Amino acid sequence: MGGAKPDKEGVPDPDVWVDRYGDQLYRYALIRLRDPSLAEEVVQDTFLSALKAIDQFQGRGDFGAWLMGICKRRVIDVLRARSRTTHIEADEDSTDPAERLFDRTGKWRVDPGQWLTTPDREVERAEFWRMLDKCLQKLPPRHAALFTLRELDGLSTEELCNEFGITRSNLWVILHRARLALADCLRNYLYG
Amino acid sequence: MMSCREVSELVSRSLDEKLPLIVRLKVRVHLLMCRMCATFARRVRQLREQLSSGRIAPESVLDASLPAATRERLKQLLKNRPA
Ligand SMILES: [Zn+2]
Repeated sequence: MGGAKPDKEGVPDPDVWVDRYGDQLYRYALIRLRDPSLAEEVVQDTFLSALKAIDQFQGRGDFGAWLMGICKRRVIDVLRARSRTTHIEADEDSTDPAERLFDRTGKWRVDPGQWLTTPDREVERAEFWRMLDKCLQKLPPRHAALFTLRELDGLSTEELCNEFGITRSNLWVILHRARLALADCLRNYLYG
Repeated sequence: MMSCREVSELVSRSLDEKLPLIVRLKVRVHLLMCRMCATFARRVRQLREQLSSGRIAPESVLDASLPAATRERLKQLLKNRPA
């Protein structure tokens, strides 16, 4: 116990962790889990794990990044557990966006072109993310999770297959469906 | 001749693994002739670049923040940590 002490070996006093890192960790988890109470749980777990493992940090690098690494690990654990318990069939049954986007001969039914200008300014990036976020919400949760971990967090296909216990071809189908559905959704948001 | 539907699948797959040379060439020829597929290919690559470069860090643009009650509870939890 005691008041805020000066940072020791690059570790800020735990009394300031919530104010300094809480929101960022929460958003990180929320974007990937899409469930506020689960995201709160992950933040709590992250802080408690960090307390326990504080000796392993020992001032190496950025403390915030270290916390984020713990948080990322937790998020993957939750997603993995969830994908084990939810019915995979429910995902696979979800309509293939290709049915909507291509005609019977496999030609584009709609122009995939009209979406996604390069958002350069801060405000455009924020707007773009909000649209992408809305579009991700329309995907089956497992598809959204795998897409996000692949594209946003840069997990390799091997890592994803191992973590989620799926085959490569299974993963490709899911990622492709996600990309098609997002292409379609973004087009509608921008020009709908 | 591959259909646009097949090409879109291969374009997507090429983001995750290197395709065999012959397949790459077939895809490239199709993309040269098909504006729709070329656009799709450009878009998904753009999306990858924008998301992976961290240029759109959702953590910094999302409005959501920890609910006040949770914030207080976590602060108490960290304050009462074992010494
Ligand atoms: Zn085509």
